[in-house]
Amino acid sequence: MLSCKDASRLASQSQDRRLGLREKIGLRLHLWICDRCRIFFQQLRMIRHACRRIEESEEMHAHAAALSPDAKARILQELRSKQDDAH
Amino acid sequence: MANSPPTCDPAAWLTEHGDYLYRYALLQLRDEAAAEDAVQETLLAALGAWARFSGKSSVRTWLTGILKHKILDLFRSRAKEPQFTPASDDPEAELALLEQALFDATGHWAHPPRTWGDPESTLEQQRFWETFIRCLEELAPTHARIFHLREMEGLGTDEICKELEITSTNCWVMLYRARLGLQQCLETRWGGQPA
Repeated sequence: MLSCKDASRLASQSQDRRLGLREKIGLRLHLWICDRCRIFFQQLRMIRHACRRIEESEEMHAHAAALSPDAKARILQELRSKQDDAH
Repeated sequence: MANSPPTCDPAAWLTEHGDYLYRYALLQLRDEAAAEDAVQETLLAALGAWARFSGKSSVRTWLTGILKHKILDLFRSRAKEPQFTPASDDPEAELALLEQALFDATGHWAHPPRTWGDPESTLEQQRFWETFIRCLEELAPTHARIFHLREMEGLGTDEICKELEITSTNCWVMLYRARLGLQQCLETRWGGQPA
């Protein structure tokens, strides 16, 4: 029987590669009987889910970091000069 | 905004999306100057590629797509720089140290993971995102980069191994290390919240 330590490793790897039959069965069996690893497995899924949604998350809009006025001015100037070149 | 056809107005892109793109870049690059450069290059590239913008996605999504390519290019060029090569030559040994803290001698959880509540409603909460982003920021740069390539860019581990010149075993170990880092951080700062 897998330990929680082994099962957690496999749970992570199951997000990155196709597990072998023995690994898959071992992980399933372990998750079936172990609440703790089942929670860990759900946490990993949630982390993945959050990564997929991060672009649309409100926090990306509300987070404190912003371009400095200097950087904005510099970028604007670059854009203008490229636009002028094109004309 | 969705009703009017988008116009080629780079100044407006900067005003409306500049901060968003900057934050996105900063999260991946961890370097303010590099993030500013990435935004600038993105907008310049967008200006050049405007004719090919189909309008099927929003301008922001389109710009973000360009930014992702810029970030990936930067990761590639940085791959050889010392601060981005793995802190340890032996990720397995590094992971073993963390496992010693997380699991007892018999391989059981030393501190059992706690449920984080219903995923859908959790992801609706502003506080979860604040916490999640703070935890992402706390990952070590090597882990953050590989995690970003896998989870935000959706690259397969084969591609990542080639990109970073590491073995697939090291790749899985480092991804696991990154996930454990995030899981532990969220467990401390978010776990046990009422669902």
